[in-house]
Amino acid sequence: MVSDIIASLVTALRLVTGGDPNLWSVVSLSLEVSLTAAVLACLFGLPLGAWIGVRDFPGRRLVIICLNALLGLPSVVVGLLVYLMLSRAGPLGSLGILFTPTAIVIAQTLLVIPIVAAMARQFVEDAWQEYREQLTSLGVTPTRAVPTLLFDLRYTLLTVVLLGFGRAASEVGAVMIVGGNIDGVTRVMTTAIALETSKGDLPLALGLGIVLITVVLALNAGAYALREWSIRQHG
Amino acid sequence: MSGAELGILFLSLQVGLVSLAASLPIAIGVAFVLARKDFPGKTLFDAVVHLPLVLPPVVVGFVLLVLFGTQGPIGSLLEPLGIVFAFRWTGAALAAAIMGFPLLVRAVRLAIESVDPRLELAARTLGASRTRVFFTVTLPLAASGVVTGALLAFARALGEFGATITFVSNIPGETRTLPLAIYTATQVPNGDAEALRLSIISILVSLGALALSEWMVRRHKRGAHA
Amino acid sequence: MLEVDVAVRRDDFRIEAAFASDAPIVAFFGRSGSGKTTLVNAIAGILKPERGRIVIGGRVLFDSANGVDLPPEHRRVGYVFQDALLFPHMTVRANLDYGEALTPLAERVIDRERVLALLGLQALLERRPTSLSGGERQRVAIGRALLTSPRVLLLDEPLASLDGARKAEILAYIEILRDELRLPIVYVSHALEEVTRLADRVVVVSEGRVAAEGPAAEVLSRPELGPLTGRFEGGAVIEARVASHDPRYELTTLAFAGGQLVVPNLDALPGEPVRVRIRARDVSLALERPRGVSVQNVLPATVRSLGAEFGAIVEVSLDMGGVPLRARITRKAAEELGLAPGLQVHALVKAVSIDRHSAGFA
Repeated sequence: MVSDIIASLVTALRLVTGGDPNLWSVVSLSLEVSLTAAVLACLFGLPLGAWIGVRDFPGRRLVIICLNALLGLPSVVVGLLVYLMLSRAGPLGSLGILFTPTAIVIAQTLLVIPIVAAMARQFVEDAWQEYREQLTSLGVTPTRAVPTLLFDLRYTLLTVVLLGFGRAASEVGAVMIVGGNIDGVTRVMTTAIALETSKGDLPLALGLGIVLITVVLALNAGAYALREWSIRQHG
Repeated sequence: MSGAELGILFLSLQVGLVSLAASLPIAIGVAFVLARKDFPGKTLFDAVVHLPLVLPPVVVGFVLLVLFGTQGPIGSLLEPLGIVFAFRWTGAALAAAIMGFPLLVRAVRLAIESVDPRLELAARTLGASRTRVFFTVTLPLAASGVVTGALLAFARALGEFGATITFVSNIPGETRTLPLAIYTATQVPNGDAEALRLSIISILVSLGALALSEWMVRRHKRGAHA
Repeated sequence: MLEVDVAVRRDDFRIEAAFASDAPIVAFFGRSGSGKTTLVNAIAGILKPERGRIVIGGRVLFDSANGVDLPPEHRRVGYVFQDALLFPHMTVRANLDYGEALTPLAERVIDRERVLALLGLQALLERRPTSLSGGERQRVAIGRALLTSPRVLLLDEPLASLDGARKAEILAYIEILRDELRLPIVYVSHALEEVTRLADRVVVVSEGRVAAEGPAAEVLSRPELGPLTGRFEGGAVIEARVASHDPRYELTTLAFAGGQLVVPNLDALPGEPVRVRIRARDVSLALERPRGVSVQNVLPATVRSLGAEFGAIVEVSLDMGGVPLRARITRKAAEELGLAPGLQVHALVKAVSIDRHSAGFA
């Protein structure tokens, strides 16, 4: 079997380096979708997390509980909820976005928002503790401090974006439910790997796997390096 | 809840609990080594332990398939011993155990690090061997962290999808855990209601586990401070 | 019999020490960070010395030349840490039982009831460490260590985290332990008072070496100790015996080789040996016996040497019939009196100034 694996590995590498259109179309769709989801999640999640970090407002506890609940939910459940919303019988069914890349973006965004918000909250809370005195003495209210803190933390927040991207790109369960894994339309790296493995087609799955691992590891390494660099810059 | 749904629930619980029981001792050992010992290659070891956290679940599932499949290097060794993972619930448990391992190790490590190492030294001067110190001093004091880790890992196991479906596929009654069953229901016409029911079961179980662990932690805290 | 000859390294700190002691209580005295705790940790087996030998009661605990290195659990050393370090998840009883249960029956020579009574622990048995006061915790820690029937008891700054009243309480307990249990004790402290009161033998540790070693009274009177004790505390330690009490004025007279000392009432029986400390700054000198002065102690002495001068002050070493004494006076006064080695003078010590807190009963 080991020799089979090595043979598949060689084929896989050839697919990757040779620019096999099948493989790369799946990769580009994945990257597009996950990047969009990560950016959207950050647009909503970063300010939300930051705001929770600095300010006490009525309903804060509820928001925190909701975010933690979303964080703890199995991803298929989140996928199912989106599916039900977008299905023909559901409230947003008329938009017809089920089984399109848009649906995948929505599902991934919902999954990544709690993560982004939690991280943002932690970073901003720490920064707020540090700068609270200085800012309040300058007459800056907590709410108005948010953009300042976010800007100060921009490199750290960039790492959050990268990690969110990684998380989105790794998701399979929710994506399968709302996307349907349709060839050429909603087949992303993760769902393709699952499919190809069950079909027994190792080389394509391996090739996609290699690309996926590379992307995710690169994102994590990038996030780590960025963190280190920004610490050295700002102490 | 229909009989089939009950079956799926029990399978999920079985997979979750077995994966926890199998990985807990190993995770405690690894966490202790990371918390208290220094050795060359420690950072690398730490990174490897965290790998399942970073890698996409499908990739983990794929690697498991390659290694533990009936023709794989490890799978073929274990088969004559009667230990089979491929396409069995044991494989689902293995996948869940690996995905939850870093969470376990992290929580337990944190808990062990919060135990004053001088207490361990004091115990040794009183005549306790290292092993006895670990079981009578370190572990009891780290207990609430262990429980938290176990809960996190269990919840992760209950929601585990990608690695499971890639490694052991979606065999009804054998590997169709709750998340896989929810997915399957959506692929079937008129299955949405079923999917929703299964989701509710899944949410309830997660909440139940969460509440149980909260209760245990609070009880432990009260005991230590009374 | 405690024999130590080691070099211990910890991070970037290194201490070398060699000494032997047969005394009931030997004190490691020195500033924080001088290496005292490092030494004690090496004796307990918590730290491994680079080289050397540690022997207690004829039993070799560590010998780098012969590859002997007993782990802490086999050394039979009782260690009382600075912060007690009681196990928070166990009751006091369980804490006390912990070490005892690990000691083989044949080796349990310490009577449990006696220890409980000695340290007053019965009332605390079902309590949890977090609910105890500092003094109570320290007593439990001592009890816990004692119940392992150790060959030697190590006390690392046991009074450091206690307030005045608790300190006195525990000091009394330690004295009782020494007298009742006949257990060799190593007492680590940077507090001159405690060491003066308790120690029979003192090992002075300074910056990673043993600076001085010997009988307590002699070592603690040495002027070189100045940097350790701080300028204000340096002085002499005198071993005396209670001669008589004056109930009317509540004074006690002590007799020693150089004469007699009157001090405010000491709680001791006539004939009891006592160690007292006289601070150098409390000693004045006169060429003639003064009259009409309030000072109760006027002792004939001979000037031995004039020591270190710092600014306006000079230290004078004196000898009272073989017993050393130190006086700290202005340089001006020293010149005016024409002090020189060999000169006969009178040392004036206010009874009130003699440090009662360091009166130890040997």
